[in-house]
Amino acid sequence: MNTTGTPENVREQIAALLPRLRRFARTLTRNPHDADDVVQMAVERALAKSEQWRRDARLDGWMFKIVRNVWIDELRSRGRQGRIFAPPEAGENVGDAVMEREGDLMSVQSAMARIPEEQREAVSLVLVEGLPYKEAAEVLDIPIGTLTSRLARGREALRALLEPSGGASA
Amino acid sequence: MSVTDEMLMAYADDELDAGARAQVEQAMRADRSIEQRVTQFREQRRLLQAAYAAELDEPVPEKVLATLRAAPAAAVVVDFPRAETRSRPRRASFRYTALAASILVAVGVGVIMWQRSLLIRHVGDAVLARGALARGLSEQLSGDDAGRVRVGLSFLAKSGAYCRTFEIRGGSPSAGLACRHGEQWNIDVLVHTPNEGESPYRTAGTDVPPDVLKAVEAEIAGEPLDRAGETAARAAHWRAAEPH
Repeated sequence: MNTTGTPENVREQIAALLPRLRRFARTLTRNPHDADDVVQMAVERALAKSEQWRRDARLDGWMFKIVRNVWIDELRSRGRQGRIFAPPEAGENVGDAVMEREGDLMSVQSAMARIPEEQREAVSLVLVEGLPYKEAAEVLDIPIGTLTSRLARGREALRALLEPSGGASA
Repeated sequence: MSVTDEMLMAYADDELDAGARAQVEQAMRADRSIEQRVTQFREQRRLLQAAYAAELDEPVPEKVLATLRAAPAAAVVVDFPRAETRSRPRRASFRYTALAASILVAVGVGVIMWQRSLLIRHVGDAVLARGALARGLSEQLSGDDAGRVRVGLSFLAKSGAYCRTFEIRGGSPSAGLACRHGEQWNIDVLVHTPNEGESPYRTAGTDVPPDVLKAVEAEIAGEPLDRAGETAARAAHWRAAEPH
């Protein structure tokens, strides 16, 4: 019946995306354990409704969107506690493995953990995951103009945090 | 005519149409600070990508993999007996009808790499050998048994590059094909191979999985290297020969 979108095919493609899905989930949740739970739930959800994936759409965008929706649902069920900013250390823990090798890059991830969520997810999708503006806007369910301004504000906030002098943020 | 900061950002991100692009470029020529601003945006993208690149190498937890494998029987990875069940061509006589290796390249690589974070890393779209795998590919001769990594056969590809098949043993065994690019081994094919006992092939040490052989068949120029050829190629650090 459905020759191109066989479950096996989708499964393989999702498998290949898993490292990126985890990475995106970590920027959303700022907690590696939450991130893995979110990815696991997202995979379940995706498999359950894989027939809804339009073959002409990018699978990565579709999966990022599911990951994000799972996280939003999770936050709702936690009574929105998660929206309260995690302490900065939580952000730094996310990339521990990275830090050992690249000490000077630590500040990028902790800076990311400090910027507002809506800016962080825009920055993550466009700059880290490499999605075009249009795709990123679809993942976030926002108009492209909104995406652009969140991205611009997020980039500016990051720049301020990462500036070598860094004086203003201290 | 002025350009906004968001336009400069979109320009750096390659998101502008031709008209707006020309407008930005004109402004950049006229004002050096505008050009610097664009550079700043580009550098920021590079910075972020570098900071997050290593996360792709981390192993995906088993519970996530299990979720993906659950439900209707389906292969997440390429199990080679499923892909090819007819009798095994032996190392010296593997010339059989070539099948397109492109599917494998698409499916094999990427699917298994999370298991292999110490042996493989991503750089952009490329997958490179590292650690024990890189050392084995550079230093071992075919058939040498150096523990986890074992090299099967070596050959010159049509591209002029040296390529080598390899086997990784251990918890989640795999096999693949690596080709030398510059100072790196590029992983072109990587397939999961069943655990010992599940496959009739595992006992024969020098056998190469059919999926890998198909890729070899598609790439090889001439015959596999013999031991003398391998020794010479190793001495030359596997530097590419002239393309055929």
